[in-house]
Amino acid sequence: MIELNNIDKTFQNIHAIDHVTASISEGMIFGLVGSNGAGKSTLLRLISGILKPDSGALLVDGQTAYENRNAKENVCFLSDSAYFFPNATPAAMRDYYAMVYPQFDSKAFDSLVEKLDIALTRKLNTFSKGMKKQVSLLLGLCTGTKYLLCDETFDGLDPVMRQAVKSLFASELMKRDFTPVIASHNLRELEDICDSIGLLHKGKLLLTQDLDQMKYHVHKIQCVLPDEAREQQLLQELTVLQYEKSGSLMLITARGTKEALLDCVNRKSPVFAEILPLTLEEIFISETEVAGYDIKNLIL
Amino acid sequence: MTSKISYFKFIESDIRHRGWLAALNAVLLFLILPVYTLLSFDNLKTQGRYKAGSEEFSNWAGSTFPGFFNGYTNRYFAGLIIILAILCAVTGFSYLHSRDKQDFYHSMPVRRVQWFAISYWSGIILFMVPYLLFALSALLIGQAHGIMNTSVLSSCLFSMLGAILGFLICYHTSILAMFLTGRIVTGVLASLVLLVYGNIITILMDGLAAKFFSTWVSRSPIVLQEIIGYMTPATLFSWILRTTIRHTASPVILISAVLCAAVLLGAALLIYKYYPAEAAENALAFPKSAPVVKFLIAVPTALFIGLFIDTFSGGSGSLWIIFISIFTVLLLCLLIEFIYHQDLRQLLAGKVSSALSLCTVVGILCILQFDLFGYDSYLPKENKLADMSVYTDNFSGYFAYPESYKGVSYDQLNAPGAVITDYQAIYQLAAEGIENLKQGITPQWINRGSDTEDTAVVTMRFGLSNGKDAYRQYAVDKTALLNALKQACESETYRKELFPVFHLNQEEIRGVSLQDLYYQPAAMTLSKEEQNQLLDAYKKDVLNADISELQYDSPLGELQVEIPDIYAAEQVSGKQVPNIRFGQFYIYRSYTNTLSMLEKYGYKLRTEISPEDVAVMTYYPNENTVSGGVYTKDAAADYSTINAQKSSYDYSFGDGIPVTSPEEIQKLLDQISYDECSGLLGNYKTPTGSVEITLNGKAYPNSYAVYGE
Repeated sequence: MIELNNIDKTFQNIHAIDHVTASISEGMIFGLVGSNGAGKSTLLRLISGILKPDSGALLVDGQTAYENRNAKENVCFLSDSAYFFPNATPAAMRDYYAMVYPQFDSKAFDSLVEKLDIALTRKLNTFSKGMKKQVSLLLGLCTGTKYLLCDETFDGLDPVMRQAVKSLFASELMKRDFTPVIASHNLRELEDICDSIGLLHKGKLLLTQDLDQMKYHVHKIQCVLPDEAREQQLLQELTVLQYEKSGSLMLITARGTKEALLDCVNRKSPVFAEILPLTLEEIFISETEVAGYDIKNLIL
Repeated sequence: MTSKISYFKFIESDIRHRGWLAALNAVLLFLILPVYTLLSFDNLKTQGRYKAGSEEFSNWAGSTFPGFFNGYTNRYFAGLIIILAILCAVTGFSYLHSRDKQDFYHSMPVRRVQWFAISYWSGIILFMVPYLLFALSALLIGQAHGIMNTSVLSSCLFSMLGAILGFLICYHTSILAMFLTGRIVTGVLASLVLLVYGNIITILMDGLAAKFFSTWVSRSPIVLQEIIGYMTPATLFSWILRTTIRHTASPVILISAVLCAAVLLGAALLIYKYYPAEAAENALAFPKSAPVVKFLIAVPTALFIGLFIDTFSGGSGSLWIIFISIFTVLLLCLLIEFIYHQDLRQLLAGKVSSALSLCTVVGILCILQFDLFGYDSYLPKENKLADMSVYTDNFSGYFAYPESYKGVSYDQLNAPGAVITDYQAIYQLAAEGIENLKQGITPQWINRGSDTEDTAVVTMRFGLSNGKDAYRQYAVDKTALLNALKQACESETYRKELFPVFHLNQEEIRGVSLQDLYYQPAAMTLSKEEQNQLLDAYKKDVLNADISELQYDSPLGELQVEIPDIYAAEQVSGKQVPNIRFGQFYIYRSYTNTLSMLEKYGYKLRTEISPEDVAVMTYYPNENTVSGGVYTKDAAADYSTINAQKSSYDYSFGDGIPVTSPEEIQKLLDQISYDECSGLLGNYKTPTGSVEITLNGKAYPNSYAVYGE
């Protein structure tokens, strides 16, 4: 498990990470979402031991990550702009990773490279951005590390390749103890792959939630009640995250299961009532507004 | 469980990734070592100096050849060592200056100190392997040309040690510079700055003081210079090359070089440990140091550039240095801010440090220009003065000290024997010098060739009661100086320090020659005992000599001595060491002991040239003879024949006037004397021309000054 306890990091006068506390459980895909400059890359660099936190404790499986080979052997960080040696080929990078990570699976790498139709001996500087991303991802997957930190990994991948990568992640999760952490500024990109999501904004972690739990416990109610008194009663009985009224039509985003919410509304003898599905984006907006943040314009 | 990394594999991989540098090192070192060695042998053959077994060839093998291995006798190689050291460091640690590369390396399960070790040793191997390989090739080429023996081989190996130490000093300096910066360009610039910063400060201190202070003597405390030298990698680099070329390498310099390299490496490691990851792509690794670095670079560089450009103005005034320095410091502040931010809009950032830099430059210039600390007018109070010493450069035209021929630094101002405790006359001389400054009579004015007949430049040492010394130079009246010297020479100790004959080690003197008006040194055939007796007699005369006579009278001739040439001795170990001859042991009419000793041994000083000995005589008038294109009455009117030949004469470019008339030959012979010296303080008489006399049987003429009657 990766534990972040009150982590803080400042670059000159930029407060990149502001006292973040969170934990990333094993065996799940964790998504880290936030706008540009929110601190996603910094957080990943802290977890991978590149940066040292100014304060707080950062533990990877109970060990400090910074300058700790034991901890770092379990972590592989894929930067948003992958670095390859000048004139290197995928084969050369494979050999280098195999030298650094003792559990690197060269056979699996060769096999995956073949499946994705990537030339092993072609120079990487002739590859497109997307192909470089693919090589980088394959290298990261084949290191055999428990944690794979991917910074904007899906950026530049075409939809087919994105799906292929998701399948690869799923396959790895089935095979071994594997916990990918994927940072992205695009919530939709993470929606269908992540089990849990953390939202970073201006260096602060606004929330971390299990996606299923989040979707199961937040719903939007659309209803028309006969009088204003019942409307007020309903609003008081529900845990309202967001409320809007258009004419006599009430739009309420509230916590609770679909059944519980419907039951509550029905007790008020509505003229009309239905439970609408919420997108992940809407859930986030609602949750963060409750927390006092207006992030409508931040999440794509 | 932590698996161990294989350093060999990592180093091999790092070298492979820097393959271009490996190739560059190999090619350049191949050209500079074996190829250059072969070219040198070819050159020797072309010049006809390649003769196996010959003394000259052996000398070359002993002195020049070992220098090929550390660049002491091949400056290109010395420069190449610095360039390759910087390249090895920059390419090895440039990953710190790129966020992507840093993320790549530092995210891997390898500790920073291990990455450091990998890059460090790769750099060493990149230089050392081709260097040792091609140095060995050069040694084999030497062997093939028959110059290798144990002595030459040990010199070469020692020289190689010097090259390796020199490389390490530069390599470690550049590594440190890379850790202090966040961009490759600033890393390279910082390498150069760290290498020579101490030199620039020393040059600046000396140059500014010399520019602004009339009494400044370029003898800043030697200890300070040495300390700066030991702390400046470039100086230490040149010292280590120089010292390892000789068998007599200074252990102090060797140890200092090792220590310097170790300290630089330690500092680099320490900084690397705390190198902030966010420093990549910033000019400096530690942003808080930016104003300090800016100040430390802008102020001395501005003054240095000001001083440099001022030299083109002829060095007359201080207007240019002030203007250029102020202009440059402003420009540098802008430039440094641009380097820091890479943004033209940020040029005016760092206003405080810019203002401080400007104020410091202006402050320094004000202090210097207006002599706010009274440097030039400094005259210690007599109750704070323990002793004094005085020296004038005019002595160098009159005296020749044996120390100069032995590679020993002789500093008369600090010689114990030259200390004057009864310093009243010299103190007055210093006071007069300070007064002269106010009249514009400065040492610089004299040295620029102004009227120097009555004025001499003296350097004084004020030995203060607190044990410290202060040095100043002044322009003083020669007569007053002579009187002060006369008083000082009343002390036998002082006289023994002043006169070079007392510096001679009589045991090492291999021969004595005598030279008179004919300027034909004649080696004297004397036994060792006779030789010593003659020198003892000369010493006795010197101790009793009237100092005025040394200034105002012409000597009759001079003694010259031969001593072993220690420079040549270094090069021809095991063979007969050649002699070096030097003289200026002048003999005056009053030196009766010497004259009678010479007479006793059968030598007589000729005080006149017989007209019969003159084959050709040519007269050269000078500005004192000619005025307005015709001879002045006083100087040359009597030479009727000469006047008949030419009514006007361009004394500057003339070919001279042949003198053939016996009367005129005799007349000119009467006006010449032994003029190898022009007095203890110089220019005691004004010549009215000169004659060139070719003596019978001689191919070349002697030149004599002609003095009016």
